[in-house]
Amino acid sequence: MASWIAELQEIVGREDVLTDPERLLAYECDGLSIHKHPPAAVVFPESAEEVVGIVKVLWRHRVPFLARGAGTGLSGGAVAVEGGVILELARMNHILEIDYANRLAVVEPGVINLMLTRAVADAGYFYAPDPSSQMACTLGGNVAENAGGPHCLKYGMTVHHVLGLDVVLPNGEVVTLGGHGTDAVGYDLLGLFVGSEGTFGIVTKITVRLTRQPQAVKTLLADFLSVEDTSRAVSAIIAAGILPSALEMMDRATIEAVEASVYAAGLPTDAAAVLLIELDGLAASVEHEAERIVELCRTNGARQVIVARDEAERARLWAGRKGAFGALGRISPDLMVQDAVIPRSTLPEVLPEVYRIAARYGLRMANVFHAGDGNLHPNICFDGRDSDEVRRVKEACREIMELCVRVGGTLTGEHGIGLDKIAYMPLVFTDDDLEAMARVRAVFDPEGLCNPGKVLPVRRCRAF
Amino acid sequence: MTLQGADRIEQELVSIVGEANVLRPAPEAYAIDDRHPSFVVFPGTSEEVAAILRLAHAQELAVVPMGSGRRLSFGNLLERADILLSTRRMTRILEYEPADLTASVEAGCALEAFNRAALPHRQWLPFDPPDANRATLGGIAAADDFGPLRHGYGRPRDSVIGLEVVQADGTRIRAGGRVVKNVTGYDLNKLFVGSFGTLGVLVRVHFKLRPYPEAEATSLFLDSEWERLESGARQILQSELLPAALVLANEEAMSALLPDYPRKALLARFLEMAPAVVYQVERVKALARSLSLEFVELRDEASRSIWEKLGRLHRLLSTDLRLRLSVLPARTVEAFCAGERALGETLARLHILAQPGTGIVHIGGKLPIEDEPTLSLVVQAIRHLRTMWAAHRGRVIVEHAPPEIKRRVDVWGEVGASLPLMRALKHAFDPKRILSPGRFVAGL
Ligand SMILES: Cc1cc2nc3c(=O)[nH]c(=O)nc-3n(C[C@H](O)[C@H](O)[C@H](O)COP(=O)(O)OP(=O)(O)OC[C@H]3O[C@@H](n4cnc5c(N)ncnc54)[C@H](O)[C@@H]3O)c2cc1C
Repeated sequence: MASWIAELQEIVGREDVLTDPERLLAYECDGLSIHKHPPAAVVFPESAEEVVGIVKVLWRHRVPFLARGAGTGLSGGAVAVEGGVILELARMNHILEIDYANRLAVVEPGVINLMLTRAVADAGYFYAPDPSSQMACTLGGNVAENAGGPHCLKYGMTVHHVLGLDVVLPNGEVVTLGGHGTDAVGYDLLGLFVGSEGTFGIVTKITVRLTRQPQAVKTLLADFLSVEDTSRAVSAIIAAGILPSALEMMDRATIEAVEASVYAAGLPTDAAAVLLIELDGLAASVEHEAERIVELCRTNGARQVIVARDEAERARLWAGRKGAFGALGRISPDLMVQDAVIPRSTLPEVLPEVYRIAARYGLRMANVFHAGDGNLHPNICFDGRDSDEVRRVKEACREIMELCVRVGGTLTGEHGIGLDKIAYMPLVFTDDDLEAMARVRAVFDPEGLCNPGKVLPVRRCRAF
Repeated sequence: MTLQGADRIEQELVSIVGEANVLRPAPEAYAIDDRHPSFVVFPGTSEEVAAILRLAHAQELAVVPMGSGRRLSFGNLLERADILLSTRRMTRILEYEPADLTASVEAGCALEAFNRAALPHRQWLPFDPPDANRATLGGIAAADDFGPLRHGYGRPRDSVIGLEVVQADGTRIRAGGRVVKNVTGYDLNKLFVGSFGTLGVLVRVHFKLRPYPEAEATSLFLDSEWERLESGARQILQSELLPAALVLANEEAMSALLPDYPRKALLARFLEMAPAVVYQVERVKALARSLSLEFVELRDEASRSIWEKLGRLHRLLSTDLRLRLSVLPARTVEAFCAGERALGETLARLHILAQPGTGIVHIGGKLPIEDEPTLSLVVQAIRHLRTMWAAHRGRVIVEHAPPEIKRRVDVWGEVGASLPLMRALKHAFDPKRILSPGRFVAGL
């Protein structure tokens, strides 16, 4: 047994250091099953002090490590690709402070996204970033990925809602980034840290902004007979200067999977695609905008636009949307999801092409995505045991990325680069761009111990 | 720099940007605090900016990037300033696709010019920093320069989606991209936005835009005491209302803004669809009645013009000291009053503007004379405010002050435990310290 294991046991107790290979298998991948690698050990800290202790031991022994929240990530971010230790933060799940007068909450990183919104709902507030995985994913994981979600169209990403972080740097030192409610001075290290995919250090405390619930919410479902029409409607809404709080698209393959699952929301299975559109704000503007949206959908070929009658109907539609990935996951052994973003006006030209690429490789694809942001989520259903199919999945993914970059887009809108998209980084960034990023990483982690093998392509070759 | 050395550098600069675009020495208008740069250059392209930086890097000349010069005196005194690099000639809108609600501009593009071009498409960049009528978009990004609209739209930092930056050694890099949602690699936008020209020269900025509101109105509550105004602000913040800006102003500020109403005031700006503006004005009118506050309503042009004036207030009152406090929002009025107490006796025309929704408080005034006792009173007041507010996570930044004050206090105040990281970042991006040396926190 390595000597550092004994040292870790001293900090958290013997039973909170997992080394049994069988049990480590549960930690070999995150939400994206295509990348698998078991860690050497998993530890379960319960406090920031324990995290500091653990990190100092690992730093001293030069053992690589990484934090893990709920493991719902979709880019292989929480995979210990170089072995090493996973710090599983699920037990650091306390809401430390809720301060309505200053509209903020202070939480530990293991708090589940939805739990925070539930805790403040009765007082009339919510936490705005709402990844579809919000029933499971942690706020620490959200910070690391700069997570988005359907309502980020209007409310912005995680980075727009994080006011302060306490971070254990890879050498065990503790720093505060941001002012936890006031403006810090100096470089915006807080903004830089959010979205650094667990490679700059481990977050032990987060201050987030709470948002007031809107006066009125209206949810519409528009269905279309072609994907092109659906895309055109999206572009028309954005171009009209209306900013819905959410503008989501689901295609037929997705609708079929959802309707055959426990998330069945009564979506029309004969539609080519539907748009789930939500407006919120003052009743006076929501009414007016809803009328315009109905009109824009109609002129772009919508067969029908319905308005959710009550909260129950609204909740059902959203359950269908948020359950879509799970529903798709059930119909094939493995699921690959990409996350490219395109300029919104190019949607009508790009989306049909994405389908053509999948067809060319003989793959089953379903699209369910944040259309208003131009953030695609092509989901490819496949069987990881079929090596030829895996190869086709990878080639199709590359073609989709290349297409999106060609029209002015980028690789990922919310899931992160992780392990999964490293190879595509040179499609968007030059060597100089990547070198600048590497310099920043070296400032936070000079020894390269914190979640190594992620985000940036490494010069030395490595076989995946 | 020897005379021959300077001649040689002038020649090289001329060979990069042409004779008409080099000034030597810098005319008085280009002085930064009490420092006079040896050269002012006006590159026309990012290639020229890169060539200037390659030269500066090789010769270890200090380069200070500038937009309109509006915020040049924001920062600690420069250690050196050899070349003032102006983006004045780089004013193009490079890409603007209204259907994407995004745009790319050269750093010297003026905010006003851009918004004029976007208006026909009912879109805009909702920024209102001080002297917005002169501001360049590169300058706004470099200083993360905001005004009262921060309340409803966030800081410029939240609207920047991509950058092109010339680094200290002249290599060019891009950060972010042209799409509104992007987590591809580290977000270097955040590093450069608000770095005040100390890590690189921004040459291009990509923004996401907002729909331009259909209507606007400003509601004004007036009183002689803070108590009821504060309660009005609190009630608005805890209601369904969505003001784009919410500002408390003292008598001095109000007498410059609206000479007919030289009282303490709460200003709420509503930018929305027409029926929503009407609704909100009615709601706050009822609120004013319930608090027995005097109420004034300004519509459309009258509303726009009061906010435009507010952005020039420091000029109208010939301010020579301006502080920015950032406190927890619920303590805004407390900070307001603390600032008044600390500086009320020392400064003339003390005007205070505070945002109860964001906790930003601006205190400005005029030094009656620049003698030793006055300067040391001001310095003491700044130190006092800093100590007092440090206990509540508050910060006090000196946005504008005469050099004599900057010699005595760090304008940024304490950084805290993250300073070593900032030092290391400065070193990683500008190892020779040629970019605005000394200007930033802790004299980085
Ligand atoms: C069904 C489904 C739907 C999804 N929908 C969305 C969506 O709409 N929008 C979206 O953005 N994402 C979505 N995701 C992706 C995923 O849920 C998010 O990326 C989420 O933020 C991950 O959180 P987690 O707690 O599971 O993190 P993990 O997967 O455990 O970890 C993710 C990364 O964060 C790092 N990390 C975790 N905790 C910390 C910490 N405390 N300090 C430093 N680093 C840390 C890890 O090292 C890893 O690199 C979805 C995933 C699923 C399975």
